Amino acid sequence: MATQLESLQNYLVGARWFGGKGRGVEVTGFRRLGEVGSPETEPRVAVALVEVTYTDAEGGSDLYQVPLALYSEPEGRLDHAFVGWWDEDGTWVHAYDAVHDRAAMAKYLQTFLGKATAEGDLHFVSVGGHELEPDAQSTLFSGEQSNSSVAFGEDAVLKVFRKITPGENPDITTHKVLTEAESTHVAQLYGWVESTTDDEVLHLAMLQQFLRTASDGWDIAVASVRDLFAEADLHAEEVGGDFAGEAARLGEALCEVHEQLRESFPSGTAPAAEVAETMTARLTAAVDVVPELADHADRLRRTFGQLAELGELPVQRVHGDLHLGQTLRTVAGWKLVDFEGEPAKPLAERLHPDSPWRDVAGMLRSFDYAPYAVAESSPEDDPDVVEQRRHRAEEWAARNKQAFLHAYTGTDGLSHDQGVLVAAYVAEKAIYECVYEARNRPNWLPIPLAAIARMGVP
Amino acid sequence: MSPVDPAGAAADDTPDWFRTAVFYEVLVRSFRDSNADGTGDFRGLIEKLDYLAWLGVDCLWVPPFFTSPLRDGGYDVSDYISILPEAGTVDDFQVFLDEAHKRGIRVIIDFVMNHTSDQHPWFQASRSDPEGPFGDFYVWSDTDELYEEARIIFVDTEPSNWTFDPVRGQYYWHRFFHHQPDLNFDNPKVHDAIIEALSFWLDMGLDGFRLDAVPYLYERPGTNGENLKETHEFLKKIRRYVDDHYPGRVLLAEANQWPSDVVDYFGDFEAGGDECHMCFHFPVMPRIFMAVRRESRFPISEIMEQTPPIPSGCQWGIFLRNHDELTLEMVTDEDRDYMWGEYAKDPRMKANIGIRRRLAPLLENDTNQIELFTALLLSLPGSPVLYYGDEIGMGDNIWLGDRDGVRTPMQWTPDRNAGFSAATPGKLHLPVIQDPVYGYQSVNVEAQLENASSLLHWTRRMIHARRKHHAFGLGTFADLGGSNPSVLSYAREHVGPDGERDTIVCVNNLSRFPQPVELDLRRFEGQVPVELLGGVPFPAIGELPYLLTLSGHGFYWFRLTNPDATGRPVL
Repeated sequence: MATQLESLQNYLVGARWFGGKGRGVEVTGFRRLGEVGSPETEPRVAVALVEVTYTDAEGGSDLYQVPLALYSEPEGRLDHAFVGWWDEDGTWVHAYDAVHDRAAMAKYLQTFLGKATAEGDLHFVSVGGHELEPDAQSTLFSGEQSNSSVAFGEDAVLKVFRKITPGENPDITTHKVLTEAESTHVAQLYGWVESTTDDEVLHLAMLQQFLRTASDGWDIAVASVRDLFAEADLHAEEVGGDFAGEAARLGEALCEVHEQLRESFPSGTAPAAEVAETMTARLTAAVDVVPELADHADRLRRTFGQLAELGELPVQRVHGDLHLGQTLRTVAGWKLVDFEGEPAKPLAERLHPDSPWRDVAGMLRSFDYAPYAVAESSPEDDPDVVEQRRHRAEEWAARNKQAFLHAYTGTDGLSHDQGVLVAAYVAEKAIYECVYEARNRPNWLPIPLAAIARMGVP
Repeated sequence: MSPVDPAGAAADDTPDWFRTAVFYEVLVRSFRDSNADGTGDFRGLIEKLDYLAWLGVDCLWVPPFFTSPLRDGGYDVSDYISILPEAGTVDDFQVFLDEAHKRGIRVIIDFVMNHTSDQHPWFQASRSDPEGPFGDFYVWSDTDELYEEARIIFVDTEPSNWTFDPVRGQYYWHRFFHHQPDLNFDNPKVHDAIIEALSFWLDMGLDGFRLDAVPYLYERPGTNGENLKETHEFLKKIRRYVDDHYPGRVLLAEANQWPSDVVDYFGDFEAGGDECHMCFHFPVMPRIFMAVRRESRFPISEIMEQTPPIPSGCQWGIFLRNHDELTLEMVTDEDRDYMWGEYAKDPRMKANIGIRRRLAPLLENDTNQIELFTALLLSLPGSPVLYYGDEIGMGDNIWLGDRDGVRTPMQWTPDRNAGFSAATPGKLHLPVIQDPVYGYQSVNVEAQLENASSLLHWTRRMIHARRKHHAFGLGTFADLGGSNPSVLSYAREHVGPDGERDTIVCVNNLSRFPQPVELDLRRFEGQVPVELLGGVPFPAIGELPYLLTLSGHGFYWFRLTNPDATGRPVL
């Protein structure tokens, strides 16, 4: 018989959203933060916070959230979400991951509606005037990587954070501010679930407008490239699937979001020299991982050197990890999603004001990736076709980058300073990509490397 | 369709007929020539009614055939109660109407009330006798500086909305061509004259009118002279008159405006509509072209989202092509719309929009695209209006000039004059299409009737599938979104008076490449989609996203059934 601790450990290491895969882990503790809805009606829904400690050389520990649906009898329909069974105050309970269970998720919805209460140190916060649909059925999204999202009918979606870092979750606080500013470029925030530990807030889940009819910006961009590749003799501006109009609308959307974030969060300036120094240090570290970068290092250092001369850089709350996959096209225009910041960075750093050009650079790099991703998915041997595609890919990326930048800046060209900023942030992003690709997808390394080779070359 | 009383009491049992009808626009002068004079006529149209009944259309729309000098395709009427001699006589029209009704086909005709031809006796009397009974029938002024805020619609040919008449020594007002003076709707006698003319046709049993250019009836200083409240009041008056004397007859407004402005022409929302029964939804057509060109559902999804609800007793009219191509300027007055920018940037779209083309040549004669467009037309909200000849994929003749190019004779057979007329070819009012791709030798009704896999038979099957499901005409519209931006999916749902729910799910691949799509159909969990044309049941809808794959430009129409209704053996 597995203990509760062992059961949680077994469940955690097998879960898709568990980030410590492949590392030696041990569950070193857990606690119940509270219960959602009445404990009298089945299933009881208890929110468990699990501490995992890494036993490998790197060490450290993380907190993970597992909401549990507890039943007195086995529920065969939930076998795929079975966590374990154990003795609890003298009765045996069968525990399942609650996000898979409609009955359990209904308790979340009822609690948001104020028709049920949360017990223990668990707080449901509702914001805005949206009236939730009380009878909406929940459905778990498949295919999500690091969190779990549950749709309530066609009305709302609850994102249950899995890895929990004590402190403000920028996804919630940024959405809150943009919702209050009536931004049309984010899904409205309806509420969230929080708890506390050691006097720090724990943001556990976020309830938002469900953008039911939306499509991912990456998918639309890739469809556009496919259309272009099918027309060997037409230019990017001539084909029907032209994306430039959408790219421009994305630029407008980001510009508006940046303005609202600048007004609502602390902003200030950062010394350009320090920013450039950090970038240069990252370059030096990257060359160790990707030796091919060495050929370009001098040119890249010059790019960062030019940035260093810009004095003070305006900084503010930004998205932090923006790319086409973080944009959704809806019938009411573009929405930006996932304001969690760059996941690789510690939370505290993600909350720091940063240059909005980081987001711009993320989008620009994404425009570069899209055509290569299409080429990758339909391999081609004929060198003429390969060359033709390469040419079309560059044309497509250049056209959409330009449309995006013009709309973002509201001008037909960049000022000298803007040009320096874009060059530096794009270079930094491409260097980061080189390291990432070299470690994870060596096949893709040529994409950022080719971009770096083109940088600063007249 | 219930039989229709030729005397006109047609609509008592189905006053809503127009909301589920498939319309067919037919140009009488180009459809069938019965007397070998080279021009089609109503006697010829009667000969072809069996064909139209077989095709399955519910209502014919016949563009202008009133007596006219034909300087504007018949929209310049010189007598509201007589017919162009080459098209036949009023008696012929009565026979045509009765014969159509016998076959369950209704008929609406164009009625231009904003203006007449300058050849109309009313205008001639008005200019020569200012004090006479018609002196005040038109808008006269000593100055051409009145109503300067009204835009000039035909800017290429008309320098002003005023033209000086040397006979009367005054300027007269015209929103369109200078040979089309606007009637003066501030004069109650004009109301009476118009109503008298409408009654003339309604008394014969006509089922309704398409009212041309309705936004411009009145003019007022300091306004743009469009959509004025007086115009709406007059339309309400017409509607009351029709409802009182001719219930079940329909008024279809041509108001070439943005949908949010067009809805005003339906009248009072709470009353279920008290102006026009139908209005054309103009932006749908260019949006469909745009969406397929972009391989993106958003151009269509957006316009559907921006289309306001309409009163309960009303319906949109939608079309892909008609006799009189629309310019985009007219649907994009609103700054919020991005269409113009997108079109103007795209050379191919621009060229296609400027030139009046038929559907098949616009789509490069690609059968898959023609079928996809037709499927969209027949399944989006509104009553579809087919354009004669498009059901066989007829071509156009761009050398005839932009209006006549799409008005060439209907191609019935591979014989002389395409079976349209027994006249010597040189006498035809417009030459038949002769090119190798679209010429009548290869594209004609006779050949396609013989071939069960022809576009004609396909179109007929689609029309017949549509008429079995009121959800197409009466149902709600819900965009289903979906994982794939190139796939447009929507549900049409209608609950009948018997409480029975009719749900149709339409899935359209706007891309030329095969596509998968995952649809969120949870709200229909447990139901079984049955493909509408073939009757094949698909897997039941579960809790998970519903996966479908579509061929390039492919589409599905499903009706949703309860699993026990599919007749599958139950273990």
